[in-house]
Amino acid sequence: MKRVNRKNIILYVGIVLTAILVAVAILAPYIMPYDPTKMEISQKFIKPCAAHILGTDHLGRDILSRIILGSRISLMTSVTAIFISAFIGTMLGIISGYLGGAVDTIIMRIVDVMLAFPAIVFALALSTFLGKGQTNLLIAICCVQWTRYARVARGETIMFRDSEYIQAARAIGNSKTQIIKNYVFPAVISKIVILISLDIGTIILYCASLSFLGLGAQPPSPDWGVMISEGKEYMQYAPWVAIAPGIAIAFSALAFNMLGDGLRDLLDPRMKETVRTE
Amino acid sequence: MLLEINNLCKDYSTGFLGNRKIHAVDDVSLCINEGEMFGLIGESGCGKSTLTKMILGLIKPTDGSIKYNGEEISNLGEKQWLPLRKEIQAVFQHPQMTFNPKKNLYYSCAEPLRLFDMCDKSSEEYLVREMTECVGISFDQLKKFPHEISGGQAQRISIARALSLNPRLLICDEPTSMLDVSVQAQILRLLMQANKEQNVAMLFISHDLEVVHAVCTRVAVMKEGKIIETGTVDEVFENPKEEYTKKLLNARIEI
Repeated sequence: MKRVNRKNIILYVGIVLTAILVAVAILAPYIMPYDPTKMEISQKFIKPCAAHILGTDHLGRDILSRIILGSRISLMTSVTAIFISAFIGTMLGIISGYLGGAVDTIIMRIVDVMLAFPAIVFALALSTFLGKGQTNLLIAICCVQWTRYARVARGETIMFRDSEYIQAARAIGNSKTQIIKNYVFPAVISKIVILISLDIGTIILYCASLSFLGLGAQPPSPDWGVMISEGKEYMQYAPWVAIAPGIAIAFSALAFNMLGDGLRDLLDPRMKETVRTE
Repeated sequence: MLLEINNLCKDYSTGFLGNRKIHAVDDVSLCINEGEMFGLIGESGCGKSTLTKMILGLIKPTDGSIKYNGEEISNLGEKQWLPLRKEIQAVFQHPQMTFNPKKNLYYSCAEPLRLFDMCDKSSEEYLVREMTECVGISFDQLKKFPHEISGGQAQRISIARALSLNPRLLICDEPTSMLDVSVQAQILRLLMQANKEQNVAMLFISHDLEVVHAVCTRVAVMKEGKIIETGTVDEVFENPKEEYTKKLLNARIEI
């Protein structure tokens, strides 16, 4: 019983933290105290105080306002990236698993090649072709991330492919497309949803690291990764400039990871960690 | 001749490098006439289900031919099979596992009607109602999901569903083996009624000899992938030629 409670706490905390994050992102224009892009050079490097709770940066912009508006960019990018890659990955995975044969081999070898690349290195390489910018960041993340979903979807599909109800469905006259749409997809999607919730935290970190490296959103947009990248120059005498967005990234990654872990344990008892003796 | 099977084989490779062959179905020939109840008996694992799957086009035979109405069907592709599905239908062993587990039973019952465009939206409900009441299931039951009903009910629904397409041939793969005896009788009555009224030919597979005796007119005995004896029910049951058939029949009496 104790264990169950502990898991539930993780889920509840995850839900609350995620809700806070989403609320901040939605209400951003109403709750930020200053215009996040307004520069006032005379106000630069103000330490955290009552007027500027998290201080100001090298151009005199209010950091709290920038972080609040930045949550929008961060959430939008990662959620979009994850849904695009989950969609592509699930489709290709199901097709690969259901059809088998040469199609399966080709798709899975592509997946293997993609998995062999470190994600960040791959994204950097891609940016030299595509150039910088938010869209290209999305493309880079999707290129790597879809493989995870393809693998899981393929595995699940193979599990169901030869099951009795799919054979019955074929016997009653369903075509391949209809079986995939009405039988395989509903069976696979629950696993994919769990995987999505587990991955959002990681994707937020990816986005932040890539924009830190200058691949994603460009200054002056208040992206968390960009803010850290700008702040690192002044780490010596104005550490709050870099630390505040860092905490924001950690907070959101933590929130989504807790939500994902909690959801996984709630929905899929098979994937539970091995029971610990407490 | 509705269905004619000649020298049908199915091999599976096993072992290191796949060099050991297992003959799941080995040189099987049989034929089923229009409107005939044909029984197939044999112990578990003798290849009965492999045979049905080949007839239904779910797996490809290694060798041999399956002719339906004089036309070869064993080498048809998935698409070419679709129109034939209307003519050859199946009832499976595990009734609850033949339905889409994520959809309610109404969906499963209406599924064949939708797939073959047999009716428009307005008459669909009426047809489903009619076809389930035929097998003694009330329409309200269809709101449930496959795991929520009993095996007997599920099997009756799956028979109703298979018959709704007016098939010429119904493959029954041990339709009663998972059901208790009182329900078995209902199911058998249902199948015999369909045979009489719609003139559906059936390949009735079972390891329950009494059931085969009661239902079928001709019967084949299968052992280790081969058909060792064929004949009318009376011939085979009263006067078995093969040692194995005698053993099967004796086993029945001992119990």
